[in-house]
Amino acid sequence: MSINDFLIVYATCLITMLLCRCVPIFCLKGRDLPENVCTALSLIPPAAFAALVANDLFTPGMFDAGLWPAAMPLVAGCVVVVIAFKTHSLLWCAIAGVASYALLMLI
Amino acid sequence: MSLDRTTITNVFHIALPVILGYIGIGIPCGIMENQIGFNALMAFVMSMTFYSGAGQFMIAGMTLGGSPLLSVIASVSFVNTRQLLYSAAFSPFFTEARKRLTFLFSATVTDESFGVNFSQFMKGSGAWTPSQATLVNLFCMTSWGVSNAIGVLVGSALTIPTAIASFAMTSIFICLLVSQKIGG
Repeated sequence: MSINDFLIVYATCLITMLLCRCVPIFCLKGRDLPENVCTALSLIPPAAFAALVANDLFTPGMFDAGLWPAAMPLVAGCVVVVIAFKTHSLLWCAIAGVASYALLMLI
Repeated sequence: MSLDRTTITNVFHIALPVILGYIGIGIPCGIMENQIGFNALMAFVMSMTFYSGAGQFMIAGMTLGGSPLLSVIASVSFVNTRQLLYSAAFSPFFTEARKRLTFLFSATVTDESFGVNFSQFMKGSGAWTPSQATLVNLFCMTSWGVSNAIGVLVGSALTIPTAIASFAMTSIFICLLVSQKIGG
């Protein structure tokens, strides 16, 4: 990544991040967000994370090379889901995911 | 609202699980950042200002995957909008706090420190102060920044295969997805 690209990505993401982090706490001054705004906002994280996970695990034509190469990350993903429910820990999920992915790659 | 030594130690212990988690995730993140051409200083500065695990993993992972800049910026920013909710949730506890402290606190909120601070505030009776909450954020952010920098330095010695690194990112997103409660 060139220095210019880094600066563009860094500056833009930093600005949007600071706006999201700082504006509500100052503007609300202890008031609540309207309920429908809260509900709408609360749907963003599950939608965003679901989209990111789906994008990583599924592609059109993923089974063209055979069942196992495409199914293998899905199986590893299931292991991560179980660990996620049990521990809610980013660290354990990353370890479990990488370990099961590496083990399944050997099959 | 000054912080004495006992309070600082107490706050450190409360933040410790998150600090350790960030060391574990920060080093791999730094290794990936090294693979896209960051040096230790760039990783440290990004980690101490932008300060986002999901975001930094995404920037590194998407760049390694060849995504265009605009895609990276749009995806990262969209995922970051969940910070609006965290900021709104903390607003009632900061009505009396000074503006500079409120800014410092809110600029350093993450998913994990949100969990820690919010549950401390919700214990009620005013025992948990904005200063203590800000200190939790600063402890966590420092461990994240240092771990990323260390990861970059380690990464110049070893490389994680892209498929494995990107699956680590997928695993993190699965964890974040599973931890969401739909409808708030």
